[in-house]
Amino acid sequence: MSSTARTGAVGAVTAGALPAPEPRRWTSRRALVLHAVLALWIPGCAVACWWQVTVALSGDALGWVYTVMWPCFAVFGTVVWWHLVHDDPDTVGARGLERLRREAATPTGDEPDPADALIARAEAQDAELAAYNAYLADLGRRAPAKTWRKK
Amino acid sequence: MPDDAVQGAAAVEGATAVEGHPAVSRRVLIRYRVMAYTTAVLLIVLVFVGIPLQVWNHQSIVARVVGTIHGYLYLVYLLAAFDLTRKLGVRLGWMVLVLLAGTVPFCAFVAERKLTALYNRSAVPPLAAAAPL
Repeated sequence: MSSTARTGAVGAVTAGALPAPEPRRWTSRRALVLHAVLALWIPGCAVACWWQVTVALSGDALGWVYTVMWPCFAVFGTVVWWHLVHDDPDTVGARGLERLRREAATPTGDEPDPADALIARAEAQDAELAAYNAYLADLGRRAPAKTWRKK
Repeated sequence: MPDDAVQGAAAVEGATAVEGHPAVSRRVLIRYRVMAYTTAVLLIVLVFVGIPLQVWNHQSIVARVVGTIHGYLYLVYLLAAFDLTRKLGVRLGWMVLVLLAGTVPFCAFVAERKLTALYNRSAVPPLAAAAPL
């Protein structure tokens, strides 16, 4: 029982934790750091690329090899930036999975309450108590719970 | 031990598939490890053979060839390392250190050991119920 119940719980937690995209995706502290790093990285690669062009033009053909390489680094930086801005650090990867598992391991309310067994035993010994509990349960079923919202 | 890791990886795969993210498959780890060893060895050859030859013996051919190869393979290392660290959920600062490890002699070996250990730890399902399938 516990295996399937847990699996179901994992699914429920995961489905619940999934949607809602981060509202401050582009302006969170983490994202701003990423923007700043990219803003330094791209010009850095451009300068290095230009430096290699000058090396190549001054006669060393190896410069052309590095002239091609630096734009590749710039593209890599952009790809990393894009992924990291879009990843939610709390749900992506093994760390996020760990968190989801922890949440799934906490009781969800489906498990039987150990107090129920005590109550059942007391009712079995005391018919009056059983009748009174049944009366209360019946009242609870018939009357909707009073809350501040439902008037 | 490998059995544990494979089973753990399968458990991770199942759970992350629900979540919509690619799983941390063993292939991702192995790709990273191959690139880590390759770039680390090339960098050691470059720094401890190529550059001394260039500086003291005026033979730049080793440094030029190995340097170029290392440059491009480092790019591949970056892709593999980013893929693995991202999927493992490594924090940003550590991710940067892992990426930079490919440029400092011997550091890629250390990063490789740390990440493999992290992978093996993350692959073991902590929940008892998650193991029997």
